[in-house]
Amino acid sequence: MKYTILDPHTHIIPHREPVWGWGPHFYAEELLETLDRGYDVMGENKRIEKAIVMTGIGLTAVGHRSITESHEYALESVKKYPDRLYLNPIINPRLDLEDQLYTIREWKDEYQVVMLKLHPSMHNYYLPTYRPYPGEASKKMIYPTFELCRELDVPMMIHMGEAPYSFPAQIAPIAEAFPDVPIICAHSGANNVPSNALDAILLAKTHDNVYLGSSWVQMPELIEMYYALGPEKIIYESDCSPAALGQALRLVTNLHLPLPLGVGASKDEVYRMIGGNAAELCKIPL
Amino acid sequence: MTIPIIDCLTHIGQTEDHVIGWGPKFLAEDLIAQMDAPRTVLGEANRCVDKAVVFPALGLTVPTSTLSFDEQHSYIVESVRKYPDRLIGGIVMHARLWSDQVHDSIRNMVKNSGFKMMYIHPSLHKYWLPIATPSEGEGSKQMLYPLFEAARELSIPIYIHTGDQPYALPSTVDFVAGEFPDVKIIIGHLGTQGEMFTIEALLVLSHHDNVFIESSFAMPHMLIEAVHTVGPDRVIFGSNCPPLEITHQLLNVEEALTLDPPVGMNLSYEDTRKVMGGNLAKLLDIE
Repeated sequence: MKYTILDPHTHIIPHREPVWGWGPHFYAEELLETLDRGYDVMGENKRIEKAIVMTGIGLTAVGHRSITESHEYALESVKKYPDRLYLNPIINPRLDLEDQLYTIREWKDEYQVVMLKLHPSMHNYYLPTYRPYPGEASKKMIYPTFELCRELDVPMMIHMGEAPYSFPAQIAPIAEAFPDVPIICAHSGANNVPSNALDAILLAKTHDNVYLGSSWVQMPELIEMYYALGPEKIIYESDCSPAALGQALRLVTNLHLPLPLGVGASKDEVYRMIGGNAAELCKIPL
Repeated sequence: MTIPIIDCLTHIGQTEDHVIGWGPKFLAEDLIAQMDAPRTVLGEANRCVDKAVVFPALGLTVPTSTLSFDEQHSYIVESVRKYPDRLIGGIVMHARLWSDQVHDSIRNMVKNSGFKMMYIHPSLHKYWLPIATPSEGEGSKQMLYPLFEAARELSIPIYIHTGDQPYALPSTVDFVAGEFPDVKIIIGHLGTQGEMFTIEALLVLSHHDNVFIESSFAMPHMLIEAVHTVGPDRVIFGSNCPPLEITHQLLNVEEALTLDPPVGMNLSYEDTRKVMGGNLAKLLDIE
């Protein structure tokens, strides 16, 4: 097993972004400096070798900006640091969906697209529901994005964490419609309501293709996650920026500690969670 | 002068806690090992945590516990006596157990055994803090005012657990903070447990100078909001170890406060040290 760390959830942006308080900027170089800072990982000083970057979410919330415009800086950065950075494009399915899907298909190899991202809260839609309203309209928006995941053989990351569009249980219908597409439930739904992670655990336990992201999760829920699902379904992510990376990484590596602070996870299990799982899903060589 | 790092919130217990679920045990020695664990804080290598306020495992204090108040605290008394330079006694007061005898015990613990803080947990012990509605509020006043009067008499702060519905909403601290302006109150966990109520907690701080806020379980961006709202003098580091780890919680504070925006807020090391211990040292009158 390679003891390599991959952060599959980061954001870079070259200017202020008032929709979700990022500012004054978080350049690719600031992210790389953060990745290289050196962190105590089970007693060893380690850096984060690779990261999957997203653009600032607020840039994708408006209709006057094309996906190429909202991702301009992220694209440029992945091109500049191909050994370190990979791309997770954010799709706003309320905008010109056909154009976005076509564009992402074009980006796949040139910009190392390894995952796709949906953000129901930011873009104001319900994921497909079992009931026809709003389920049928939602299917028209969301199914094509999952078909693209299937075609490109990449997982889908879905933001979760607040009312009314982002409760983890809302992922169930789409997870059942696309059982061959791996889904990462970002933040395990915990970023505004920490106890949402318990619902996310139930979701992942009942759906083989659902994995849980660790950013914003609290330790008691992470410990529950480990016992409920095992290390194979837990995926370290920092959400840096705006979240700090060191504390996000330490949360997961603390599973190595004995009870009651951790669970006594082995070194291999920890590295699976802080790199191996995401690398496998996103087919990133470590 | 070196500003100490003081942890506002830790727990120890000799047995499993079947209510909160901590296990198998967490002794004073386990806590001190965590306080002394190797870590770098604000650029200083091998920086230990100088002192910690230590409370009993909460499960010992629930209504169904067969232990008396004194029995609930006997291991804390013993541990503080054993490690007087490192541990500061904390009282978990289940308000329904209040009596003259308990009051005497608390007086004795504060005056003779190094205890400096009282902790109440409306969620675990199931009551409303005093609120305007008489049906809940009047009973709550009868039950809780004696505790606040004792805190005033002994000059110790009261830590209030917050972050759960329905009893531990930080906004419900507002009323009692106004009734006892001379009692220092610490709102626990930045109002974050099962849910996040930090902004509501900060509203209470902005009304009442006697209210402080403790950092365990804090979402990092809310720590930044706290310092921007009330300044660095009323934010207090706590780890809630166990179940949380001290180094992780210190790192949460350090990164959120000292890194450049947007990850942090570029707070000076001097002000960050206040959060990590200086403010609590002042509050507890520790030199």
